[in-house]
Amino acid sequence: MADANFAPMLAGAHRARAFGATLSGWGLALPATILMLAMILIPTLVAMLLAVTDYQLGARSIQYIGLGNFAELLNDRVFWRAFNNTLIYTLMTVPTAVLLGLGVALLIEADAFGRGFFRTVYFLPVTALLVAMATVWEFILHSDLGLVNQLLARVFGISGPDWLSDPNHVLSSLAFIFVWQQTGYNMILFLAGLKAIPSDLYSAAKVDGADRAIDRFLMVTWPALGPTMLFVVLITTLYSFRVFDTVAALTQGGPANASNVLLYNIYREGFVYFRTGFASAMTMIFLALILLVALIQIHSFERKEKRS
Amino acid sequence: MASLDIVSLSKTLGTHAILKSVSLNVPDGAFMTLVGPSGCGKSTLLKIISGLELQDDGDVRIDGMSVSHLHPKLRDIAMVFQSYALYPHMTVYENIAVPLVLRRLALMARMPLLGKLMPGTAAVRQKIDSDVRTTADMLELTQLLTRKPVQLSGGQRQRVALGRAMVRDPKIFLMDEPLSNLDAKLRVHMRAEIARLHKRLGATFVYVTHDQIEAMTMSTHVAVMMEGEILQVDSPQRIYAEPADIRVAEFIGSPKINVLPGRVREDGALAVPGFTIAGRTQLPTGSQASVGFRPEHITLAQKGVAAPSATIINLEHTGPEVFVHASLEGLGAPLTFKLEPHQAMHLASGDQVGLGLSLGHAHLFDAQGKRAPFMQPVSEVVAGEVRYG
Ligand SMILES: Nc1ncnc2c1ncn2[C@@H]1O[C@H](COP(=O)(O)OP(=O)(O)OP(=O)(O)O)[C@@H](O)[C@H]1O
Ligand SMILES: [Mg+2]
Repeated sequence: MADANFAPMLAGAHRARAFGATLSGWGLALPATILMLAMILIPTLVAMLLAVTDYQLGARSIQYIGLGNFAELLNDRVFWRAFNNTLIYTLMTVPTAVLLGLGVALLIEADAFGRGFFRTVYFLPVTALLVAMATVWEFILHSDLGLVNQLLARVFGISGPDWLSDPNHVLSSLAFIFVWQQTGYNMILFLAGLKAIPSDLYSAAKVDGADRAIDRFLMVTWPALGPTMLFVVLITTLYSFRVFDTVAALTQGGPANASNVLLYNIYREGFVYFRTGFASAMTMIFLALILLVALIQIHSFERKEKRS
Repeated sequence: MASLDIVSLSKTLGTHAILKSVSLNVPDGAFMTLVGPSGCGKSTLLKIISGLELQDDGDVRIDGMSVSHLHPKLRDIAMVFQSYALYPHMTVYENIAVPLVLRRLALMARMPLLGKLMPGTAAVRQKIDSDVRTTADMLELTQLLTRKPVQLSGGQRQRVALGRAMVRDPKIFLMDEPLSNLDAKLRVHMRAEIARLHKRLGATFVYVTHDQIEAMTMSTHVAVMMEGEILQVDSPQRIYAEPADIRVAEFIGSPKINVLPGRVREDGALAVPGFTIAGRTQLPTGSQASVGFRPEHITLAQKGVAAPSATIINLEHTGPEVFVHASLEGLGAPLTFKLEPHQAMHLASGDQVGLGLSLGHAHLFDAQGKRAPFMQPVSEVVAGEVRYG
């Protein structure tokens, strides 16, 4: 009898405790949640609302125009130029920065000699502020006085192009600067991934007959780096999509939009021409694009995980 | 089938001499167990034998031929690691197949699509398949071939690691603490399984462990290693019964052997704290020596017989036997000895008991810790020869 009365009481106590745990859980998550709401979700929501209006910064009136902004975008040649440039830029930078980062990490990991030195050298660009470094790059890439063209002229006798003003080269030049910085970052991520591979696996591979480095790379390193690779590709793609500072500092999208990219275009429409509604619509497209990239990559990774 | 000779191997890392001129002969088909405390250089020795690390000096010979200059792949040695070192992204089948694929197929032929186009690949693949299945069958892994290592229990992973070692029929197996990640019960099971495997394959095994039960139960030979040196190589029985060095005597056997420090008297007898052992020794008069008694060689003295007396500190009942820890006057460390439960029934801590020392089983060590013989076979002069001073 006593037991029977006791049971519900016990359950009640359990429930109370569970409730307490839930409450404190929410309590702990609250500050971060508020920050996220304030800094990310609410601005995104505001941009979403603005995207369907004709709002201009400082204007007194605001009018709902439905998908008008998006319709205009479809026929906006500058937008499409920026869109294409962003894609081309990403296609140039991502494979290069990822493979270079991996290569450097492998070289550093392979030989203890000078490890600390090279790690620092390759990581330095990551710590440099790109806007500040832009001046240096401007000098290096200058058409007559620049280091690159001087070198080309003196060593090979070639007169190099004007890297930042020639529409055929400006995007590659910006891509090069991005790779210069991103490689070090990727290298650090890959180094961490490599560190996590148990050295016994390499020993086992050697005894099993993997006498060449390429065999061991294919059998041990490459499969083990899978998750790191996903993260590196994802982050490099996102950073590449978000390119802005070099464009703003070095080319302002020029010449003739040859280096105009999505984010810079948004900035120009929104803060130079004050077309807030229109810029918001572009932001929506930009966000959707980034989301798409992330989803595709995560999805393809999960499928690979399942298959293997 | 091969014999393995290790000839004065030395290895120094930084300023630390890890192996100090280690020599070891492993006869064809032997099960050689290397035991020793952590950090004594067992793994380093195995890595040098397999070719994963290079020695500074000395030679490794298989069937009398030096292999020191050969890559691990060409030494025909298989190795099993403590961590199993299974390739995590491969199935059990693929893991076992790796050594065959790497040996029998060129890089091109291993590629998923390209490989199919290479002539002869299909036939090789077929042979590999049948070899993998035979091995899996032997280790009862057939049901698990499509699983990944993460989906296996510790014992199953261990068997896969064994399979990967066995599949190419190597001359020599090296195993570095292969059972230390398993729970006690599974360890006993795998112990028997590995011993059986050794008999069945007839190959030469070098097995590293710091579990002396493993060493004693599985091996044909035991080598005790300490601080980069091999102190003794012998059969498990002799390692236990006739330790060549006091460090061997102290390392092998659990609970530890009881060591009494002593001094050699003019008449050749040995004075230890509290009494004298009259068996004559060959050691120089006045020199330091020590005598060891294993726990099972000390018991309670018979009633009425004069005997060294000790105070019981505590009793450990393990079930089939009782370990008694007792302090002997003049001796720093307590003595441990083993009684049957009925002998210990009326004992309690604090009791004074007389010790019956089985002198026939005493181990004498000289000042350097090397085994020294008693002049007369002491077994003939039991108990009465102990004089108390
Ligand atoms: N890379 C290294 N650099 C310097 N010393 C090392 C290195 N690797 C191992 N050692 C030292 O070499 C000694 C022998 O190591 P080893 O791994 O062979 O010991 P072990 O007998 O296998 O020990 P355990 O039973 O713990 O596995 C240890 O003292 C260790 O500190
Ligand atoms: Mg070890």
